[in-house]
Amino acid sequence: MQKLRNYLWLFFSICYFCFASSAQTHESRLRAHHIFWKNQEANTDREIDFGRGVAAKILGKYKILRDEKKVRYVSQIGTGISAQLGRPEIRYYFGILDTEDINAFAAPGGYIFVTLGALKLMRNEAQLAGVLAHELVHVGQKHIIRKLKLQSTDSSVTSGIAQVLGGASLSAKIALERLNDLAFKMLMEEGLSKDDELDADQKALEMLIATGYDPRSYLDFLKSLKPHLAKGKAVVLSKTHPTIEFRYSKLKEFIKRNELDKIQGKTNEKRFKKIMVSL
Amino acid sequence: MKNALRKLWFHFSILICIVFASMQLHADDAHYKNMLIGERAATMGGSYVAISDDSTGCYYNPAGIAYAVGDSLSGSGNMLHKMKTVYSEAIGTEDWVRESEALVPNYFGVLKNYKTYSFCFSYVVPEAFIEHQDLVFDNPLSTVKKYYQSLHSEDITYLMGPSAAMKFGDSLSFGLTLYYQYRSFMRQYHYFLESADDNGYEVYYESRKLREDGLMPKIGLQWSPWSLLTVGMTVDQSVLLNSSFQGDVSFHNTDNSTGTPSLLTLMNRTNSEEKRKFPLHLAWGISYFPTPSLLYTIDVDYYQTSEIGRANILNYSGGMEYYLNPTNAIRFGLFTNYTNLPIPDSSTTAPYEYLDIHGASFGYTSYSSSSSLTLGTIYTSGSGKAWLYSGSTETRKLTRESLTLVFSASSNL
Amino acid sequence: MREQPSIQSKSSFKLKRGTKVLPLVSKGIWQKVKTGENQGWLLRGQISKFPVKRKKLILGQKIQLQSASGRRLRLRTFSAVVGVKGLLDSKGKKISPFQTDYAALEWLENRPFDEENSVIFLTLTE
Repeated sequence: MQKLRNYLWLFFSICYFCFASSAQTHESRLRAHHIFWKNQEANTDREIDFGRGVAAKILGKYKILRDEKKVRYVSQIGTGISAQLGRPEIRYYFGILDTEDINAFAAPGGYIFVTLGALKLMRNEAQLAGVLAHELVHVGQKHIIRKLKLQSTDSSVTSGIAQVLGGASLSAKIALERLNDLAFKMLMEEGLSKDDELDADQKALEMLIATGYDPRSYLDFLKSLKPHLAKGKAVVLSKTHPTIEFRYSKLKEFIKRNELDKIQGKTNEKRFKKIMVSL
Repeated sequence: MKNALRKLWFHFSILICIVFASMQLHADDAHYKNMLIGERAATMGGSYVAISDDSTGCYYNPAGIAYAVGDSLSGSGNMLHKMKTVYSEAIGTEDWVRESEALVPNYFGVLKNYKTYSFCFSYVVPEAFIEHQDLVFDNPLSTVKKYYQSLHSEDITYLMGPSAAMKFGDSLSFGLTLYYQYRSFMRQYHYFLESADDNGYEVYYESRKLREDGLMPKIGLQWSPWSLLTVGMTVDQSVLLNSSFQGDVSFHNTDNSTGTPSLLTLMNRTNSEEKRKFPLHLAWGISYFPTPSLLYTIDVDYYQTSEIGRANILNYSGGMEYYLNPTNAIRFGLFTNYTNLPIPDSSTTAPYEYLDIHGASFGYTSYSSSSSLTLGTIYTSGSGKAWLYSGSTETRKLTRESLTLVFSASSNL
Repeated sequence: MREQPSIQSKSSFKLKRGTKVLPLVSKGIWQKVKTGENQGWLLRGQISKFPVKRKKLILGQKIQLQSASGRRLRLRTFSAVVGVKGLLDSKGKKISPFQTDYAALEWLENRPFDEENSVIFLTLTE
């Protein structure tokens, strides 16, 4: 009996030791040079350079819409959100892709695109803000880069991108080109991990609330995507994201858990409809 | 006449016995912290048990490598180590000065880090003592016309082996290092003594060689009760598997003082396989990381001996690291290096050296995105007493000073 | 900054972008912070671990292709070169099968950029 008690005591002590500290202890070990190089400007330069390549490929596949009024509107909403809640060290660009496909893309370094098809489906500004916020999160959390396994973990100092992009040799340039292809293919075919997508949904919702929008609108938009999947317009979207039902239910859970359904926010429907009148 | 003869022999024997007495078998196994390892730890006084979060950590506390930031390679940890020991007025009225100088790459390690576990391979030189000395004394004593001494000794210990660490939860980690330990010791001592008034001469030659190999396992633990504080603990003990010693002595003495020349010649070889015993070493450390630019650390080392004639001792060390800006950091440290010989008393006779040493360190590191360069210096000094003359309780003042220059580079993989 | 960790709670204090805050307690998506004399709750998405720096405009983003007059201009970044010439292997074959459109990208990057007005536009409620 005594022996059992001793073992139990040892077991619980170990559990206590393991979980006693609520903070991430390895974060306090990061020294000034780790933090500096992790957030270092050169790494950001390289990320942007890399993202440009991917953005150029996206624009190679879909034509960019040059409708001044619409682009300006989308850009203003997007910039307004990213100025407050995006990564402060990069500039975000927002473009519209002239295609009936329903989708939105984010390339590393802040290049965000939403399709005309997606815009047509939206009912109000809150929904647009939600979609843009979702893409912002992908850039902000470096989902794309991490999925490409170029950065091993968030707290890793070494940036694989830096090593590839820093290379001046032809082989490094070829490697860069291949990386761009990989990223592009990922956006078009494979998509990001389920966790990353759910993370983006959740954080997008938080951003919506922070900027005063109605969070329910984003849920409604997800719901409205369902019938279009069957028609084939959202083929790429459905290939690259977890099912709409799954995202919807997870998001609903998240809202309930944090009591966000009681929030009243703006939708700016009139303003949205005025701009998107031709659709 | 008989008294004069006795006096003569007494003086002769004093000189002879310096040889037999002070020539300890081991270069300096009375101190455990003769060399500090690793550029970051060494410049913080060797206080690293609660940090140990880079490839140097394999040596100090394997549990710490679980918290390493990224993979790394720490190489060319070079140390230029100079040591000077002075036995005041040990040879007649002259001081006997022994100097040692060694340039050793005393650390090399490769660390690979995964999410919850880490592996490391390291190579350490914890002891490197190289001494070459040729001394000539004219008339050190009234009865000695010339005394010439030549001493060459090298004593280097190597450790190499793998380490592994695992995280349990967010704030606890365990680690294990298994070192293969190898030591190579060589000493050659030769003296020639010519007595005054052509009363004779003496020649002595001694050669000692020792090879030891064994294992040094080390277990470590690190725990963070609060996010800014870490405590660490390690246990290790070296165990020899093989030991082979060979000692050769030859001595020749010619004495004309009494009118009838007498000759004395000795030649002797000793062999031994006796394995010496190492102490059990426990270390505790606490580190406080208040900001990413600052950290403080304190270590206590306890050595529990299993050899007769040694004492259990405690050594203390402490250090701090401060970042002037994200790419430049400076470090300070203080440490003790106490002797493991018991406190001498009135019955103590040669050979015996009672010497406590204290040290201070300073270092500077320059960081770039994937590598770092360190320059530093460690200074130690101590004074005590030495019993040099066999059978005699006479002591001489003993001082020892050392200066180590550290220069090394590390890189992230 | 709100008094309680809930969207319904009154706004107790307005913080300027870039203000340093000290984290206290976290509750779900809310984080209690302290700045100077004031305490309150912020959404965790509103707090960044790294200091807010001025926006960086990457010079390299400005690339100029063949202008209307036909004058050849210098290309600034490697990716711009690739965009125009495409990356070719030693035999002269294109390495990437995907098309790129750097001209469109450049048009996008040259668009006006006004954060302040965008934020104002965003906070306008009908």
